[in-house]
Amino acid sequence: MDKVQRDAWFVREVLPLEAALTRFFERHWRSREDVFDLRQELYAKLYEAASRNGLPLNTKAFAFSAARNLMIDRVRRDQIISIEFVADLESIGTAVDVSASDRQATARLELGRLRSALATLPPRCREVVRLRRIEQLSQKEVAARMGITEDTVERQVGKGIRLLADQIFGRDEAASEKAGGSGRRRRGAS
Amino acid sequence: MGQAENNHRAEAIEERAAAWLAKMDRADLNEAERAALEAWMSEDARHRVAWLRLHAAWSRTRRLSALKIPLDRKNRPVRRDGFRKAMRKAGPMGQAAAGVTACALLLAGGHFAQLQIWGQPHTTEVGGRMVLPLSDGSRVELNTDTRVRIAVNGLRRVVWVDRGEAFFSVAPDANNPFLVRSAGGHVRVVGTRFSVRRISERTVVNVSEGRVEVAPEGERDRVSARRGDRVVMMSGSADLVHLGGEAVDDELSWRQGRLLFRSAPLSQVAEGFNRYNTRKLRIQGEGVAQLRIGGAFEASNVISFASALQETYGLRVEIRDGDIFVSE
Repeated sequence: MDKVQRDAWFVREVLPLEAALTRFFERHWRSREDVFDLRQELYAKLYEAASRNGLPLNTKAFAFSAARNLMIDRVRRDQIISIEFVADLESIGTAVDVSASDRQATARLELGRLRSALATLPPRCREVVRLRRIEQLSQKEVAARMGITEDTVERQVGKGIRLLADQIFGRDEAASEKAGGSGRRRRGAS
Repeated sequence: MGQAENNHRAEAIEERAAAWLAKMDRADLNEAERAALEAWMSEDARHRVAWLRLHAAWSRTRRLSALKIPLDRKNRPVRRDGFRKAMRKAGPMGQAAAGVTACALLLAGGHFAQLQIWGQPHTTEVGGRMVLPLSDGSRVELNTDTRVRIAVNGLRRVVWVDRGEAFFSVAPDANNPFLVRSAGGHVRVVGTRFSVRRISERTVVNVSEGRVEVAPEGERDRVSARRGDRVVMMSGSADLVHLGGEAVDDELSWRQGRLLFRSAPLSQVAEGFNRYNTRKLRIQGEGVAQLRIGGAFEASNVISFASALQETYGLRVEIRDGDIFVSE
């Protein structure tokens, strides 16, 4: 099974679990700041497992199980002996997070969600993304329109992509009003 | 590595992935850059997954283009009547389905068999146009490079758009809904006028008159659209934007053999012409591609358009191997 199929599987089946996985980590890990790193490592491990052993039959169960094991391994590796903490993690068992909303994002809400995501961006970044994606201007045209350099536009696009990904994957229908579960400290304004 | 360092590294990886994407968003990568990106992604699974995640998010934001407000004749933004999306559950659809099933039972002698509906194919070549009057009084107009299949009779009315674009004037018949099937789902009407354009996995519906129901595959809910609305349908989604009656009519100027643009980049205008002509316009150079063009053009007269580019913008126009090359 080739890279293209694996990549497609990752986007189609793993990324929709992001909000639930993030909440899972946040609930069971001692420090919120670490969640972003935990999640990235989990994704990498899931991807590598798919490489070695093929796609899992039940991606969701596999992902949560791997998430739990990851936390246990880390605690052991870091040798932070907190007996209650380890016992607590091990008691999670392989039960899948029941609050995770499994169904594919309701498509008719997608455009609304994208608009909301756009609205959460800091002003300059938002304007760049708006001109790029709604008005469909090239980065060069955006620079001219806004009176900034093309390098700046490129940087703002990069920034926008990261913030938008947190919104798009980090939130789900049932999530709290807190914007995006990125699991890390948010930087200051643009 | 302490956890603080882990966190920094994770952030740095994501920043790098975002930087690559932003760079690609600005301009195509050259050979060396593409090799560097591949190398970076292969270095570590973390790099790859960070990239996949950000790339997936950025791609999804393409749908925001549905919100673009077109310009009117005076190059002002068309006033939007609000972002409307009326949802309705399937209702009378059941009736049509029952009609088809009953027919199948009769034909197969009571033995339920899959009814194969066969449609009469019709095609146009590049630059071609065809008007097809149907037995129920409806009319289908085919645009350039289009293929449809038609199955219209007293029991059911179905047209498949396999490729290209068609405009429908549907004769009212409440007992026999008219269905147009295309990529991503189907459109259902009782009697109205609208166009359906299929672009690979997407279908764009422009409503000229009356009311149309767009039913994306995989979704229970339908999107109801009226005059001036445009709906972009893909499997699992249908997005509606109100363009306004005039803007929709502009989109349909091909029915009079014309292409209408209001301040569109030359690259887009060239794509438009290339749908209608075998002699293709090839735009060379990013600067030239981004030039803004406005006006109404005869779709089949690409040579005269190219001459106009030469005169008005001082561009270099060369005909080579049958195609027209435009550069600075």
